[in-house]
Amino acid sequence: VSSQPLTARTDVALVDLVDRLLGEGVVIAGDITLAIADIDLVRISLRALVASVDTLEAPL
Amino acid sequence: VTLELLAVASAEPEELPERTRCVRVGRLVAVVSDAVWGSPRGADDLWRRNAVVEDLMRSVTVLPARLGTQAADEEELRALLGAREDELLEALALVRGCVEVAVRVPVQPPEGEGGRAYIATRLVARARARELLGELEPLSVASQARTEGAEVRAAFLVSDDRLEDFRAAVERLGDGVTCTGPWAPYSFAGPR
Repeated sequence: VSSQPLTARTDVALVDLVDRLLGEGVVIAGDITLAIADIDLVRISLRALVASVDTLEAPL
Repeated sequence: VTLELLAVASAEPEELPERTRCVRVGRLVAVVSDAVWGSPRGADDLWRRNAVVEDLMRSVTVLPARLGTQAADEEELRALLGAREDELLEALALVRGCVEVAVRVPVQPPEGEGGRAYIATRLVARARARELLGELEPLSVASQARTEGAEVRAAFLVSDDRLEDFRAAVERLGDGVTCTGPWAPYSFAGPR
């Protein structure tokens, strides 16, 4: 499927994408929602990826 | 785990993205992938996942699922989604005809010596950022905001036909404000 994405794949947009995919969206209650084991690693590596963007969230 | 939930939709989409299928749950349609997507290894994987949701949005109203929302089998998926059918139908009705726009407003760093001055300037800065975001609210169907580090991150649910007006209003907020989207309604898909 070739499609024109709604949102341009910029570094600024990546910060918002990470927020949305990892922090928002439908969650099904209970044991069905298995946190991906290394989700924190994903966050950290993505932060490194967008580290050049000044809008990057402050370090924890 | 054999199923990964990608989105909850209002109806079956006209065209299904590759490697996905539909599971009907009452009046809901769950779009699932049999091959669990697994851990994203980088930004490209996340963008691909987002693209699947955007493809679905072309023909149906969707609530995107959070990354890593998985079920053992269809039976489990039906039981858990079915239990929340009404709530999810309400959310689908809310986001119908709308997209999400992300807006981030920087919060000025606190000034002053001592804890009290620091906290006072921080509160003023936060209030100022939220005031700016308040100007966008009348142009949206719903909104939410939270402070994260040195900025306020907001999500606005905007009707398709007001998107241009909304963008123009964001432009007027001035420098330092970043705006991305339109996105699928991620921030309005979960329980409020």
